[in-house]
Amino acid sequence: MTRYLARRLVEAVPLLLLISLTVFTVLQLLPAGPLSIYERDPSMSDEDLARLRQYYGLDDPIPVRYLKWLTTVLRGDLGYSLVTHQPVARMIAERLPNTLYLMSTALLAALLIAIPIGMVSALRQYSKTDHAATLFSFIGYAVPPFWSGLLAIIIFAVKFREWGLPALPASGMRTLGSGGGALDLLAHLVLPVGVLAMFNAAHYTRYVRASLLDVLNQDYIRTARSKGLAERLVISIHALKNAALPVVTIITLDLPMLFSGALVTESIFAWPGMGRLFLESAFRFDYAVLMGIVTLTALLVILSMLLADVIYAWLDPRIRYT
Amino acid sequence: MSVAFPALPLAVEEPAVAGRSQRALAWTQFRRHRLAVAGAVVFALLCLGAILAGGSPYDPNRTSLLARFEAPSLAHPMGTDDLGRDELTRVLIGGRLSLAVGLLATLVSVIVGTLVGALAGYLGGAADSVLMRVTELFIAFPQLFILILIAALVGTNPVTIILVIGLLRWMPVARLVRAAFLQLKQQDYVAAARTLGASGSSIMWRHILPNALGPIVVAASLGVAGAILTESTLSFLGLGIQLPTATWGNMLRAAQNDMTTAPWLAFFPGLFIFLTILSMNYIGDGLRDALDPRKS
Repeated sequence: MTRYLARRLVEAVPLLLLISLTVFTVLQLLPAGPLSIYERDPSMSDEDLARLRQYYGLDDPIPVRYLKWLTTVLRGDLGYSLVTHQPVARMIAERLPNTLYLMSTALLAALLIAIPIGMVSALRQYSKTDHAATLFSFIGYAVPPFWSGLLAIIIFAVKFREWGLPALPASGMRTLGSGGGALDLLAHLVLPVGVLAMFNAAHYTRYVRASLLDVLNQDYIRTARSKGLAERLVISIHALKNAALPVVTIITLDLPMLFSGALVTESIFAWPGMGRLFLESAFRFDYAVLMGIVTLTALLVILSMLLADVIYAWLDPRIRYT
Repeated sequence: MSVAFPALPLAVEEPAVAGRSQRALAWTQFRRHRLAVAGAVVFALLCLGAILAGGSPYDPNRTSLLARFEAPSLAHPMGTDDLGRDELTRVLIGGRLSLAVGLLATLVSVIVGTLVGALAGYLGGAADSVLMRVTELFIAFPQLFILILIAALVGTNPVTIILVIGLLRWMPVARLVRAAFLQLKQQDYVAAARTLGASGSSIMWRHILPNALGPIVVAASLGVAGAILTESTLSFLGLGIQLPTATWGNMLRAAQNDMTTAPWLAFFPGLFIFLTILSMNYIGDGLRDALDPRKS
């Protein structure tokens, strides 16, 4: 297992290098670049800008700049914010855990919704339940998370308060002035997690249904049934584990979608996560922070693909850890 | 000496089948998918509304401070916004940009995806693996982050938005086209064309491509829904097309400030995004049933 993991890790390195090289090159080719923040400042003269270009080595060819950037990043140095002058790595480290709370809870909730619905849908194909589940996922696909977020705030925060019902908090992670605590955090998680989970659950339901239907048509399921095994055992022993394989893969491939969803959700619910930091930096043209977050997000996506490989190997004994 | 073949009974039924083109068959199949037809009708109405929005008695950008935050009524079926502008007119006008960006960005992604997929599938070998690695690289990337970055640094005119959304969404098309080309290039008519001396590009574009149109159309219809969602997300975050030009996304962004006083402002633009995406997805579903030979 250790060797398998090590090999997968080594294989992930070129992919990561390639992604970072692509992103870096594209961003350098854009008409606007690291100096956007200064170019928009009317008190900066052209000579000042030229001096800055020279100072930051922006006149060097792209490969040279990429190597410089890479060696600095590999030392864990993501540079300094052009606005707050704090180290980018520290700014991200403050926000990243909040995003991970939000994403992991939403992922868990989405799976808890999608797996039972998808299973029932597949086991009773073309039944009323199946049609209802299909409708649920088509609607879930089409409701933009930012719209369901606004509607959720209007109903559960604004209207509930008007009607005298217990309203849910609609912004931030903690109630200001209160001591905070786990319950308070949980209350703040409900709406953003609900919105993010519904959007993803709509997609996951389809994957679970398709994958289980596929497995149920296999010969070994027919064999299990014809040897007289109870249907419940056919499903739980033979079908589910095999149906889980493709679902794991597709959900990992969908992780960028979860990151994007988290960014939108953080923006609606004023969640102090990395996505919000990214947006704030975009409005301030804080190039160093933007570049740092993009790099880190790419790294996280690749690491989670790696994790999926490990889960895959664990679920499927046909894969040898060599 | 001539041998008289007995007439095959099958030949008798032929006239009933003859004359029905591939397109007519697909159309019959599509019409059977009731939800897809409903989707097509709704989408046509949305487009019609956007086109005819100019006929509204209200000016979408004229403010009227006396008519702020009016609740939906007969005169203003969707109420008025924070500057007293008629919400219905703005939603319909906003549809113009949202729909145009969605359709044109999809056109960009279909062109790029078809090029990449066709080259990978037809050439095979090293070219195929390089192109497919590039495709996977783009899939692995959190697109919204790149999109925001480019929108923030380069600016947000509609052309930039269309190009960037299009260039970040071609991967599903490329994979489908590649799969279709891999399969089609083994067909006898391709071998025949090659024997007759057709050039590589002529085989790819004139002989194989027309037969791969089915999956491309399906991918495109589903792509439009995704592109519209992407555009409205970007506008909602404040990095898309800027006010006062209305898009569904930036109208929802503005509505965030008035959720207690005027909740309807947060409802209608979102409803239109929802209807557009829902109808496009059902159209795509119906097209897949009609055009995908594997599914029938």
